[in-house]
Amino acid sequence: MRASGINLAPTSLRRMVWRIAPLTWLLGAAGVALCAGAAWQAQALVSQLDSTRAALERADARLLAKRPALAVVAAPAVGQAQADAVNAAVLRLNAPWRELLDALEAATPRTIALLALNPDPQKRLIKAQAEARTPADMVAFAESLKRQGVFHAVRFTRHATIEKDPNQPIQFQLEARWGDQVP
Amino acid sequence: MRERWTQTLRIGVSRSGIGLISTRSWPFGKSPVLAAHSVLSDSSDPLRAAGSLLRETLQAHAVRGLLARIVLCDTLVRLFMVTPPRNAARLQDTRAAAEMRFGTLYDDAPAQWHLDADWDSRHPFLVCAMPRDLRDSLLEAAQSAGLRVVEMLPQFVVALNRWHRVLAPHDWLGVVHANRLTLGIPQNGRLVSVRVLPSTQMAELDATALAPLLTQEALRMAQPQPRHLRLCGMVPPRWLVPEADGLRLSRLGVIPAAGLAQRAGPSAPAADLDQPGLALAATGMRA
Repeated sequence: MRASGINLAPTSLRRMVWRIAPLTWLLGAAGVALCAGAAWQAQALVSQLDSTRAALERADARLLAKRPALAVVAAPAVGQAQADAVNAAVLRLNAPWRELLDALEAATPRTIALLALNPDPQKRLIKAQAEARTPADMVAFAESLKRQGVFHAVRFTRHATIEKDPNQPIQFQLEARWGDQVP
Repeated sequence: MRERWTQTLRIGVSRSGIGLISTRSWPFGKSPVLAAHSVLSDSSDPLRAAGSLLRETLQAHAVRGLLARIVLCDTLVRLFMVTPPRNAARLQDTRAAAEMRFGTLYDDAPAQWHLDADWDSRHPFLVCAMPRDLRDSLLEAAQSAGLRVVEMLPQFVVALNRWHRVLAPHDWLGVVHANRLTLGIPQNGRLVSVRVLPSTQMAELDATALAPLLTQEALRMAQPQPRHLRLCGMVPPRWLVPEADGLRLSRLGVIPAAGLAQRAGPSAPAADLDQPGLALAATGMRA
């Protein structure tokens, strides 16, 4: 049968302490002793680790003191003009030509005639000269270029109607920037 | 000072007498009987008289600072079982069920009684109710003597807590005190009923008549017939037979009178476990 938990005595701290079985006290004391032992051992290990680390640092210092100083090799001198030329070449090589041309091709409808492309890798800029039948086609071409995702800024630099031509097309120039925005 | 930490005062309280036994948990030895007094039978209010007697007795002994365990005679309290309602979920639900059951059983206001129980919202649980007046007077007597009361239990609960581990799942527990038998009836290892057989029924009862009486109680409570009754307390010698009418009888926790040492001094009482107060105080003591 189960024991009863009835107790008509007033509730008090002394009563609660008294109800704790000796085995519980013993286990609690053993737990505290184990925790204290573990803490002491951890402290000993930490101090041992500290002393080992200090010894290692001392050994490193001694080793560095014994090692002959390395001769400093002078960097080859490069002129400003040469460096600029190398940088320009690197920029030109690093330009995403395939993506740029694919985007231009995809964005150019039949109503637009591309006449010239002039890329400037240093400024991450491409200048295009083209002809359109109507102003709406011209604007649609610029919007289509923006939608490609490669160019982040497209602006017209010049446009004019060719009166001599019987179809009176609009000739225009635009600039499109790619890559990170240049301040 | 060391003794104060290891010493406990066991106080037995009944309508007919009180008894004080000092026990020591370490080093374990004989427990001196400090006092054993009878309440005057012509007293108009035996409960108040018991409280006054306890106060006077405690004042006469150096018990200040000791822990006290008070063992009450089962007749001073009301023990009953309560089946919790199906939707009981909180302590308040079970408490309300216990108070309602108390009012139904005894037609009495629970406000005048102190209730404590093995609160359980899923199984029937034991409730003990004690008159607030008696509780207050006993606690006041103990407090005025500098005692710290850590336990106050009816004798049946003391016996149950002491021997619950040795009781088999279908053993009945019988606590005898002053020709009164309190029966604890189990079912699947749980207490399901508590019955108090009146003294008029028990006075002249012998072991052979005990079996039919228990069978009758089992039928009344719709429980299987008992095979083994474990007795403790003031068990009449005529019941101490191995078996009677198919019912095994055995006694739990025999405290030899020699285990209760007399305290030195001319006023020291004899270690007489037939004295009601001493018998109560000795309930559950280790032999």
